[in-house]
Amino acid sequence: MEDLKLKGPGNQPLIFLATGILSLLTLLLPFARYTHNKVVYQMSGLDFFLGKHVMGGSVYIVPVKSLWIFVLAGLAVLITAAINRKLNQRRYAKILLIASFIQFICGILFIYMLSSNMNQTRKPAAELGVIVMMLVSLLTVIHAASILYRIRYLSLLDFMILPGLAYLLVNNYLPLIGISIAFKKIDFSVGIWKSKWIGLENFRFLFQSADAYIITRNTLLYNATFIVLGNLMGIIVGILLSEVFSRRLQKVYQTLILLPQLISMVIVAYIVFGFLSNEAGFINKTVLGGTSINFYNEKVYWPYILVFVHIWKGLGYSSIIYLSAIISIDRNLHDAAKIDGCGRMRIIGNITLPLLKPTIFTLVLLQIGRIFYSDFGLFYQVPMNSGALYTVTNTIDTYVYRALMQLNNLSMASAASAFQAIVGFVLVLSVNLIVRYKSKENALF
Amino acid sequence: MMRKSKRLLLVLIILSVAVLSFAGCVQQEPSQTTRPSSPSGTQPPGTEKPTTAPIPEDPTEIDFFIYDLRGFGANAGPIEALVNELTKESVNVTAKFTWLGAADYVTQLGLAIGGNEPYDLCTIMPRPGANFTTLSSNGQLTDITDLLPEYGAEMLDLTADYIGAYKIEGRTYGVPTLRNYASSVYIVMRKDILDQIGMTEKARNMKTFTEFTEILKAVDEKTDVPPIAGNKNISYQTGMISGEDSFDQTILFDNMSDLINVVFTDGDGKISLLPENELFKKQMLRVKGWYDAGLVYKDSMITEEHVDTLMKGGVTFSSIQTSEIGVENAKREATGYELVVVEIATNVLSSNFINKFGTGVPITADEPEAAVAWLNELYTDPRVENLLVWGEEGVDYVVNNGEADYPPNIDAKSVRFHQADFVYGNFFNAHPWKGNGADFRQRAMDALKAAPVSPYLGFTPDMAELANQIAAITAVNDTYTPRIYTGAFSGTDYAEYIAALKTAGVEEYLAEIQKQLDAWIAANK
Repeated sequence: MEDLKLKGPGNQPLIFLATGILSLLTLLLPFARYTHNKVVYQMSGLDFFLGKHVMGGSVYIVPVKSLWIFVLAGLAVLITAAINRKLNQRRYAKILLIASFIQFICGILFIYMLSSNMNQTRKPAAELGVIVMMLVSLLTVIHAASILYRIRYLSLLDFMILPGLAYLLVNNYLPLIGISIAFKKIDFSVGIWKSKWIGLENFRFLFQSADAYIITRNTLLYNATFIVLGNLMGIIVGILLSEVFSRRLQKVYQTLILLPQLISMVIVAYIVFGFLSNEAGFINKTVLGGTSINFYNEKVYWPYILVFVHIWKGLGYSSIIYLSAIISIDRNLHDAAKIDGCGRMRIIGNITLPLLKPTIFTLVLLQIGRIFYSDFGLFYQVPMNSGALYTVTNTIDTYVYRALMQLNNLSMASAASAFQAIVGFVLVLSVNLIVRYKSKENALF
Repeated sequence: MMRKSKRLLLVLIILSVAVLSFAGCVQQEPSQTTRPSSPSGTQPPGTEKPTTAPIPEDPTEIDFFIYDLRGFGANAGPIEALVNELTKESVNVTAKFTWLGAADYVTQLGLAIGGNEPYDLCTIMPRPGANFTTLSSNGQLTDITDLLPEYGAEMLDLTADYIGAYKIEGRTYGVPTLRNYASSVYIVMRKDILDQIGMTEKARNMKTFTEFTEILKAVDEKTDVPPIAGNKNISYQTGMISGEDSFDQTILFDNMSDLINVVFTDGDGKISLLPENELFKKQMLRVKGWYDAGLVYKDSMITEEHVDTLMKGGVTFSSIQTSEIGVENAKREATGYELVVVEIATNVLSSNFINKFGTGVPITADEPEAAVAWLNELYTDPRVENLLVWGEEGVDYVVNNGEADYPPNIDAKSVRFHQADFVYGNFFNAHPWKGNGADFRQRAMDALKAAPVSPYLGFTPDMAELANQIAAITAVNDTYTPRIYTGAFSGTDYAEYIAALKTAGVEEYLAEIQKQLDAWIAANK
């Protein structure tokens, strides 16, 4: 084995030529099946590559782009293997790796798009051929990667990141393709991918109505209030909890404060209703003793009610995060300050708060990124969806929900959500930029 | 190393040979480059692999995405097997059912069609997102115009007078559930309270809203029960009443299956904005008078509970609502009280009453022909209909004197399977449920035949190009209508409502529907 290491792995062009040819040959295998006049027919990869009239000639399957890319990548593998002597080993293996990986991705894309491509046939389904094709490409990928590993271009660590990377790709980046729905007019008869592009038409309803200003204002101002008050209260309560001597009492307080966090917003809405109802509400019947305020028809009270409910519900969560940050502060600092004669207030002011700063920055930055999203339950359920209160309770989320309830329109809902995502993204970037400019170590990235 | 790579090479070559030999086995449809001029029968002989033995053939299986009104879908297995036995014999089609309750049906239907799942039938029902107007304007239903005469001729015959409600620009996209579409608006009152205040006779014989208001006032003075209640969605009840005092002169507006209830027609081919109509406004002001006098249950504008549930909960003496013949029986069961019911006026039979419940073929269907053939059985074979609505005879129901009832020792809670007769297929083929009388189907048919018919029956506007306006108008409606329909509005609210509708583009909306109606009238003359 030792002399192998000295010799290096070699270019093995024959193997790559073989896998390249094999991967192209897999196109002859059945890739999909469909039913016509109760007979099951298959289509080979070549049929998809060239396009074919099926269903007795009534349906034309257009040439599939992903297979064209697949063939081109396959040819790239073959050419690279053929001219291997002209390339250095690292570049040679890298090209093979990338080309065969593209082949593999083309297989995934083919399966992904199959139902849309064969939309007009009956009972379309993928066949094993495409799996074989992907396996062959994967074989090439592994083989090229093993060359790169043996010439020490890739290390073991590079391979260990793969599962995490695959997860991120599938879970966080693949769904981004869906943003295209916001710019399309969905036609279910041809499927989402083949629907017509219509530019920004879907975004129009967001800005056309007189409510555009109100919903943007409400969303921003409520969230700004929540961020400021929520964090402030969280810090105060977190510090108070950390200063409680008795461990048992601390646990009791913590649990009591956390409890509302665990209640569903629908239940919270009815708790609030129990207080504010016209006919049987605690406030109208007991506190005010009969002089009734129709809370669900009077908008002046609601900004306060909503802020109160939000803080009451979320306090336990934010205070625990701050409490855990405080606990992780080195106790020796406290003890040293005590020896130097500091009182409690000075310890909090000079040690706890400055050391909490990074946590505060991180939490606030993350919350600012979601400033265009609102707590749907809070703004929809708690005011009992009362129309009279919309000027103070309508946010982007509730507006979109109500406007599109009737329509069930996929594209318009996606447009609203894309709008929120893009604005939130820009906000996080710009706030982070400001933080970086002011104090670099506190910035997120 | 060399040996190892040689071995690998050998394996690859063997694989290639294997692939090449498999490649010959692709079972391909013979290529055909010319389009057939007619849908069937023009294929050149011998090119298509024929299925030589047509009988006995495997039954075609269809998937039915079905609305589970009463939540018994989980127990439906034995019922499905019995239905399949019947349909396999008659049309050689079996159905696989996917039951979904009210909470999930709309979202799951949208996802199923959007996700290209091959359902062959789906229930159309009056919920935002699963109603005919939305499904058709989103292009989620298959055009079955050409399939009906071939595979569903009897069903087409039965529904001939009403199937127009599922047509858009002359093409058919669904089949209405055959039932009694005739409905009226009723005042429903609790008899025990009327007895207590001594006004039962007056209530039974009242002919005007003035008399009704007197009763409400008496209830307010003599009891603790709020005299009248509505809910946020009450628009279908009080919202359609013209403001005349006498019930005889009251008419109900024909909103021509307008999704968002802002247009109406007075029968001369003109579309107008409902809130601008003087009679409509008069009715709203009457309700406001009730609200201001403290006669309306104050939480009406925020509750989503059905008025019957509110009455059952003891928070209202009366309600105004749309219902059908058999209303006394149905409402007594729903509220738990003895009732006095007075009819105000009869609805004009228009598309929106007919296309409430029906069945369509989703655009993603794989077997539309078999689906229509199966549906035809549901409409024509009483055994299939009774299985689907009441379950298995002897187990889920028994028939006594022409009425269906729960078997001995079984009630509404312990029964295995029980749906409703107005959702699926042909209502007139199902046994009437206990309490309605054996001649209920005949009476329902008589009521249907006697109902006044809208001159625009069969017109359903195509809303596909109006999505932006509908979204904006819906938002405006949500803001104002709960207040306005329950009378909890101030002097300026009403004018603001109309102004907001105009900002939201209601005029474009009216113009578009007017244009379509003109075209429809021209085509149907």
